[in-house]
Amino acid sequence: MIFRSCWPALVSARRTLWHGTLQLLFPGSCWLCGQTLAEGHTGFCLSCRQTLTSDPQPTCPRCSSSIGPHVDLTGGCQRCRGTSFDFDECTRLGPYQGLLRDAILRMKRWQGEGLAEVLGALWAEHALARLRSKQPHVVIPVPLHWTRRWSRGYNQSQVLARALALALAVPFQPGWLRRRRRTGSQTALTAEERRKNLRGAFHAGRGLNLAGKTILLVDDVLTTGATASDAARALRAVGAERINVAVLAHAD
Amino acid sequence: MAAGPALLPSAARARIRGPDFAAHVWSAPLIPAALALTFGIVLDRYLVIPIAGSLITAAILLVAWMIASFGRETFLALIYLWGGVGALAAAYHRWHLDGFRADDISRYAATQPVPVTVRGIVHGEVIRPRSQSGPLRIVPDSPSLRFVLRATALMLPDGWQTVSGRVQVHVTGQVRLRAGDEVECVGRLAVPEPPGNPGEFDYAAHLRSQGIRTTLAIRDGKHDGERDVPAAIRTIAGGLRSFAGWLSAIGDWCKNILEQALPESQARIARALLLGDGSAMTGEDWEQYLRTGVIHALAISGQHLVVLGGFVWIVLRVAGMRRRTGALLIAAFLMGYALLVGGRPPVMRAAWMVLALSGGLWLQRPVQPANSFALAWILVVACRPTDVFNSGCLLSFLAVAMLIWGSGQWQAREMDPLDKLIDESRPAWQRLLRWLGKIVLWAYAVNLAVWLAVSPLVAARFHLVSPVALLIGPPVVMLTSIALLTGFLVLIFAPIFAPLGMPFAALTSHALLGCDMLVSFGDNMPGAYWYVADIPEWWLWPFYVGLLAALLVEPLRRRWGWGLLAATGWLAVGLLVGALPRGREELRCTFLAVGHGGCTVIETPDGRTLLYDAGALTGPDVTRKYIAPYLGRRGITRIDELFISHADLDHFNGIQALLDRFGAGQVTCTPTFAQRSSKGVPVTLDAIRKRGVPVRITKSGDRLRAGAVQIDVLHPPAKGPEGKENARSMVLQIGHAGRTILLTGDLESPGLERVLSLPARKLDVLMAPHHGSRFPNTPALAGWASPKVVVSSQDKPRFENAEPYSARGAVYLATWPHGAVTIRIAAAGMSVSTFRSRRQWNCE
Repeated sequence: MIFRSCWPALVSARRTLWHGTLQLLFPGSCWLCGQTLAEGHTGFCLSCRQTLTSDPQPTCPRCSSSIGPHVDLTGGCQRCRGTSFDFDECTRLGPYQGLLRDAILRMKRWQGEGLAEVLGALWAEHALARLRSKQPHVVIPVPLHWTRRWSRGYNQSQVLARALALALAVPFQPGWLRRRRRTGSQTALTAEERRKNLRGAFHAGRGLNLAGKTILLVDDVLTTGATASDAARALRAVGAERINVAVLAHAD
Repeated sequence: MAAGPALLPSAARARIRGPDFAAHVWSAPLIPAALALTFGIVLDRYLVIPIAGSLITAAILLVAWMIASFGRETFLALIYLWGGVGALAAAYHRWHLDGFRADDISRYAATQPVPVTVRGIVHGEVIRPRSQSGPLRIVPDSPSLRFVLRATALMLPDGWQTVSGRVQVHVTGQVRLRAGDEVECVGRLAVPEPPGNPGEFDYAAHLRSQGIRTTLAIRDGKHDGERDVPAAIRTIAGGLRSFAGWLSAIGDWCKNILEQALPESQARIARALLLGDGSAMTGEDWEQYLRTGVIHALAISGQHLVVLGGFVWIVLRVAGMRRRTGALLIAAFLMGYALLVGGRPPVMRAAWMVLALSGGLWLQRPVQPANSFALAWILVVACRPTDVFNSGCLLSFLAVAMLIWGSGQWQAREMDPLDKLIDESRPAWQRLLRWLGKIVLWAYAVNLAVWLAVSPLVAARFHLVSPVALLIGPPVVMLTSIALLTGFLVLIFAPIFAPLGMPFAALTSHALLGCDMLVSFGDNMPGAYWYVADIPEWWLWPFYVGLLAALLVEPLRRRWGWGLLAATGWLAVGLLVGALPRGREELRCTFLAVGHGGCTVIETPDGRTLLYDAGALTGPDVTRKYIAPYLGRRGITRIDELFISHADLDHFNGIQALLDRFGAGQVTCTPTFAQRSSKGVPVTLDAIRKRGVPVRITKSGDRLRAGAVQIDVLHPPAKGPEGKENARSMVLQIGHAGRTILLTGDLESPGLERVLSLPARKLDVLMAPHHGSRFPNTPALAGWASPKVVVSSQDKPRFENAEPYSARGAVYLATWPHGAVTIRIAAAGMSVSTFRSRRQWNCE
């Protein structure tokens, strides 16, 4: 009886001790602004968390670019209407600007993997309901060519995708999609050039059959959609039925 | 409670209690804790606070902390908390030094060794020092080993008695032993003696800081070739029964691989570099790395863990391992490696920091290098609180502190877009060259900063300043890093298939050869290093407290130019005070305790330093162990004249090392010194000649002067006398202020009779000839000299002959057990004092 009445107090004391020790050994600070975190918070401070997760504008369900109010969305927004994508839908965490842009740039350095992990967790937490409604069977990240993965130390999309898969409780399969060709930097290319540059860069794993499956394809940034589209094409070729793309940010 | 804050000026209180301060403390909360801990230990070391006192203080402060933390006085609460931590640390330190169990084996030991049979378990690594030989050694080193024994039982007349405690064991002979073995040893148990000379390394305190209060000397009978002698060490239970046993077995296995794969001389360095086993290297090898200031490359520390960990990390990641799993594996691997190589503080410091980093990766929390640094310090100190004063430990932490807090300054600034564009327009080879140039510049800048920070401590602990490290430091670190990596690959591949390891072995061997050549080159450069006298603590403490403040306090850190200026100013103060002429109003004559041998240091009132002999039976190490530390303590950096009494090694084998460290104005010896057919004589004369030191021959009848001090040479004559070398010992009569000291060397018949034929003296101090042996110390000599004080330079006596002197009322002082004997003569009178036994006589 006494034990039972003490139990909650013991549990809370243990928790306090654990958090206190953690705070002493690894004082929690915001990954982005460095501010000391309030008790019980991990990863980002409240204000950074707020900024990261509030998308200021409505987005196009097809390409996830920002759109104004009262826009006709049949066949996509004005931006994507003329472009054919091999994926069906695209969702984003936010636009590629401000704090999110800083975070993504910092994530791409080789020390940025820790940031990618917590950012992935935040994304999963925030967008869980929306992503779950798509009912994906499997989560696949957009791969990096191995030379790029070696020089960066890791593939940021893979870390993000793992966090999403974990939250959605669906299989995570980074090996199902590969980048065959080393494509040069895309930053200076136009949309058309990008598409050309990427053609045939991806291929699905050998002997893979995705007939009837819904795929969640994860990338960090979507600009023209060329990369995601090409990756989706490779998945389509092995039978994938629906392909939803999830990106951290959309660069308009 | 109100008294606390009232102690601080209100302005200061307002400033530090502001939100800024609170944020700072919580961004690295372990830093103030580590500082408090260190402060408590240092305070306890100097004030020797009883454990009960520290514990009561800690309890009061912690209760005060709890009370204060309920209120709003958060800053005051923190002060109480840190105070409590400091007091606890002081108690822990005192307990570590003094808290021995009632059945500790030291209860059965005394200064005079007693024969015992003891059982115990070999604790930690078994060290087998490389035997040394050479023309300056009288007895060649026999193979030996040493280890720490965790004693479990001691044989007493009524059977085995359970005991506890650790014993430092020295074994002469070769015995197969390994960590974790249970053994029975027969040897002589003793309490280690405190140092015999001012400035000498305190071996007893060193052992005590490791929780050891007794030593056991074992002579393995089999080694002497004696028959029917039972083995002095018998293994009761061996094999791989313990973790330590496994570690040492793996270590031995790795050593074998290296020895098979590499040429002998490189295998020796590779063993030290990769496995922390320096026993294969000679003292001279170590000295060379020490002198050139690059010993850190060999002593296993952070550099090693960074290279190994970095390599394994890359391999794991390329193989597709996740970051969190990889971090755990790396932590386990490096911790295992740190324990394998002996777990000394520098490597443990690095291992704890790696563990903190891996923990952060695993918990997905940002890692604060400063906090991890403080954590590593706390853990190292928790393992052994006396490591706060350990040189290797301090140097390692100091260097890393410079790297961590300096890293903000070292990191290359991000290029602005224009510079980036210009850079990208350059051809690839130019970009590569510029990149390499930047790295080299960066390496030298970091090297300089670390060198500036550690140099005062190195000078204080090793009496060395090595500017050459500024030049050869970075390439040595690069070469040892290559050797480390390739040597590690040898360890992996050679056991699988020997030819696989060969290319790596070749790389290792070349890198080590290059490193050796570079160090030798640096060692021989003019002005590469110089020896310095003692650095006073009043100078050292403010320097390091200031450095710590400059690193920790943000506004100070930003004004590093001012910091540099302040440090330079402080250095100038130190140099000025050191250079002030010391008014010596007296003649000071110190008979150093060097064991069986001799070294008498005469400091004259006009500031000159004369040495009469510098040698010992134990070998040329006498200079490093006793003579140089004493001269350093006295602030002496130059010897004006060096007298060699005669051509026996135990009187001059320390001279070569002495000339390396101190300049000498002149060497004076007997007419027959150069004629002695012993290998040591030409070697020493050669060393003297090479340094351009003039040699003077002196003979009886010569009179020398050093200011008001008069030195008469009584013996030997220009020729003869015949007989043993001892008979031709130089006898000096030193006179000052109406007092006389007679230095006799190893004077024996027939030289002794020749001296006795001179008019009888009334001496104040007589050096008992030939280390107090029976033959020359006769009643006839005592009668002729009628000394007030007799000093014998000797080891533990096999023959002591105080009787002829005591019979005439003289005070007889042997350097064992009394330690160094100092005679001070001034116009007012003469005083005699001993260093170890702390006795003093004054003669009006």
